[in-house]
Amino acid sequence: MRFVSAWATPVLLLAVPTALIAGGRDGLWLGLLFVVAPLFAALAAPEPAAAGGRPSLPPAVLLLVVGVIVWANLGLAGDVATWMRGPRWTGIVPAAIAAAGLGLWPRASRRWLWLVPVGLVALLLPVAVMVQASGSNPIVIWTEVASQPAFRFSRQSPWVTEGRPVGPRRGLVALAFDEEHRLTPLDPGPFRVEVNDSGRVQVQEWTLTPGQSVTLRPGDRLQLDGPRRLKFEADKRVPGAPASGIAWADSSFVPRWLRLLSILGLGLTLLGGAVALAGPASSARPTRAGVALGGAVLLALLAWAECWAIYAVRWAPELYLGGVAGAALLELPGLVLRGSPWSPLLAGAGLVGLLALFLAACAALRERLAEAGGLWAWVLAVAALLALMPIEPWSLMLSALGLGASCLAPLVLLGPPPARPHAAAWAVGVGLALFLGVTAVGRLWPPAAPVAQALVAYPALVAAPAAAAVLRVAGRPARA
Amino acid sequence: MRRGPLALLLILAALPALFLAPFDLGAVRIAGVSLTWWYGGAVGPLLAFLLTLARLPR
Repeated sequence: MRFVSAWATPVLLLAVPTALIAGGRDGLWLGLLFVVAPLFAALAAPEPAAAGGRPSLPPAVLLLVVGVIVWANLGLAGDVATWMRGPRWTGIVPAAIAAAGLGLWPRASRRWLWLVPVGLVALLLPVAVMVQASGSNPIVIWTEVASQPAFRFSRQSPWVTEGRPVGPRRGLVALAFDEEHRLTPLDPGPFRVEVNDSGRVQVQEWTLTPGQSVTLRPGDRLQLDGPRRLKFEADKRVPGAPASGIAWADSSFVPRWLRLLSILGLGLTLLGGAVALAGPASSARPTRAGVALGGAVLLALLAWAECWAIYAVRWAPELYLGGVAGAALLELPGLVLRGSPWSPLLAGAGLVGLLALFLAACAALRERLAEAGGLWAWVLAVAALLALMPIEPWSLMLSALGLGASCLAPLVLLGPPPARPHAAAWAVGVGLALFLGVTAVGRLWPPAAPVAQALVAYPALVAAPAAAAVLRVAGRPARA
Repeated sequence: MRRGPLALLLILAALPALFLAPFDLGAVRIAGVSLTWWYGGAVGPLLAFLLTLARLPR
């Protein structure tokens, strides 16, 4: 179970329904990796008792990987607080204090594993209620979604009846409209629209008083400078949603060859990241009973993520507005069970579930850090400070796993060459330099070419093979 | 590479193969759900779990 606890952090778990909602069929790849990557790590990691045992991992890199994972999860806590219309610290500080308290509690070392089933039950409860309330099982709902001609605002949608804030998410800075749509901004301020006039794009700016409406035409794009309360028109297509149910269920939204590169990049990042997390010599190889229990938890979490995504696409396509965000998914019970007095409680159960998984992950990651000489309190403090900056948690998580895949996974899988023990340090150095270098180049000079964009998104594609090559070459016997 | 991890990689590779299969094979419906969704959402993960259990020493 320990190997699953370190893996199934809230950021990674929420990324699965987010990918399924946003990418449809393409999101299945992340779901499959979510289950298979830790199982691969359990099988591929060398036995501690094998010749040479598990290699000792560089403490600084291990500290960096664990630190960024904690940062990403505390960042998600901040995002949840923002979603609940509070300041970021109201989510980050309690989560960090709870994680620190768990570390100080003497009995926690034996009992923290119970947090995983607690989290699982708390997450599955809202799904069970939504399935019961909808009167249809997820397979029937999937079929309904896949045959929908379009994703439209319902008349009861809060975005239609009262208006809701819509802001830029995941780098999306504009809402594209496919049909005529009357929009009512509820907050004062300028309203900028990119108008497409016979192929000529120009930005028009209006200043509307609260309650005044503007009609956007097909092809117009509303610029999103910051969160802003907007009221949409009922029965119109949700901007940003897929063209139809069949497009969501069976089509891909990216070109074929670029998809292959992204599949490879995400696969290498997650498989390598899982190996790096399972690799420290301090973590014993999971037993068959442990894998049976942990694997069952992973399958249940995947089922939760799939149900969450299918019900969201069916009952709450408004989540597409401004890009799908993990923290906003917690609102799903309220959107499916509109008007039910139980929906705030069910959203709360989801929050409790994520908090329990976060605490279990912290306890498991703290054990991984035993090789790095502890420093847990410092990791938490620094991560909590950094989490105050609103940075996309999923991109942080990808960076942490990519770093593990680039520097630690080759060492765990291939081991240091017995004849040249210093080669391990060289391999880690090459992996680290290439990973940081590619990431920095991508940030400073964002590439225009799609292949370069994929390489920058998954630097492990370059760094991990290079680190493995150093170990391989160093492991060859010297010529006489 | 040992056989267990290799088999898991093959289970993973089957999903992109379904994405790219000719004649939209992955879109074929079985009990109302497409083959890709059955494989990526249920069969693949379950198969990987059972295989890992079988390959681990008691």
